[in-house]
Amino acid sequence: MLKLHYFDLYGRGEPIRMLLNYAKVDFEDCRYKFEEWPKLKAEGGFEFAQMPVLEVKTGETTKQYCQTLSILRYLGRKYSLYPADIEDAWTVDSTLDAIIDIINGLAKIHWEADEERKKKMAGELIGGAYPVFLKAMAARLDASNARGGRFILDDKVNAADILFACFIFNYIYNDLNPDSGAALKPAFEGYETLKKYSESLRAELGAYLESRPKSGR
Amino acid sequence: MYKIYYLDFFGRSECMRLLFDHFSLPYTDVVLTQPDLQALKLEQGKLEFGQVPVIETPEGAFLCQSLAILRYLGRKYGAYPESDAHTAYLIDSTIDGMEDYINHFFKYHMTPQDHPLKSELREKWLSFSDTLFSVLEKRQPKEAKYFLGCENITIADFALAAFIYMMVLNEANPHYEAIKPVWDKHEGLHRYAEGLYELFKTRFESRGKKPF
Repeated sequence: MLKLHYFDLYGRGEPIRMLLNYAKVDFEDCRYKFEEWPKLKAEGGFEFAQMPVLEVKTGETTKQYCQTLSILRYLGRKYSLYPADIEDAWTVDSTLDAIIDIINGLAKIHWEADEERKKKMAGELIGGAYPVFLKAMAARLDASNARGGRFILDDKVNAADILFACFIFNYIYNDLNPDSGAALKPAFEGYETLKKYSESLRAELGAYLESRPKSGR
Repeated sequence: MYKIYYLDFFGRSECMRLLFDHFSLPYTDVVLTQPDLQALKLEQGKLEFGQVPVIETPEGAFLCQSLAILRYLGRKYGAYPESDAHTAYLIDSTIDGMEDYINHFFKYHMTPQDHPLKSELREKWLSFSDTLFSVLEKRQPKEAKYFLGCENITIADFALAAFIYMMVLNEANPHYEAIKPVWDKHEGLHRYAEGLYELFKTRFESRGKKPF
């Protein structure tokens, strides 16, 4: 029995929701409003005083899993979405880390109150780390395509593809966040490889992208 | 021979050095200045994400992303037990917890002194430190040599040793005076940390002083 605790938005919880959905694993999707957080945090039930948290109940024992990437790796191992070969695992790990870097960068910009600093940080990301990231990801996908694969590693979706899907469909192709799309889409669509990849992901994720509760980020 | 390309910090490369030393794997450090780094960014195929550290393997491959490298080396040399999913999770989330600490620390450290949020960021960092140390204390059996009481050394030990002796018990760290009292409260970790120092004494006593 699985229970996910997170805010009522995509953020750092959506990759876990998407993975569980893709693996066809049932879970209780507990969504909280920001106003509920101080009380929840003070109750001390979450190990790192953060969310997302995944609770896994087996019989009488409940185990708590924290930290987005650790949860994705745990579930990835459990549901065959994480490779065993060490070179392949490095590809998946470094992809996860690279995507989280960009997502963290976007989060920092979002939470920056000072308009000057905000503009400067956005300029640095969109002009610096983001294009380098896209170039690297496109090259990885080209290499996979050459081996006959539609996704990051091969022709099977793995945990890194799930996180990348969240980046693409939560931050780039998200009607509820046109500013984010406007900033990120042009460079993304500059790569045929990345456009094709997003279409493959859309086909693979199917109804979930339509049926999931929507949010701006 | 492995080659580590990095700036002149312990930073995100130290955990790899500790692993190399532990398994007697020879390596060299290619220490980059900022101009060197800019030049390397322009060379094809070396800095995939424009960042360091990267390592060059004995086979000539360039691997990036420090934690992905640590996991790769851990798997290669038997220091990342993934057969038990829960143990692997505890190792992973410990590493993620240290990443969060580093983010909080640098957010505070890089904010100008006169910024209105400076003291709030300090509070957030110190509060998270207390949480992290509590988690580590709970996870570490009192008498165990390695983290989680694992039979053999794991990447958690390399990461924790690098982290503790660069971010916490490092007098050259700019915020040592603030973090030391928080660490002192968590006595359950002290014996383990002392054991780590003994394990990596040669490296720690020969590497000189750096802020992080």
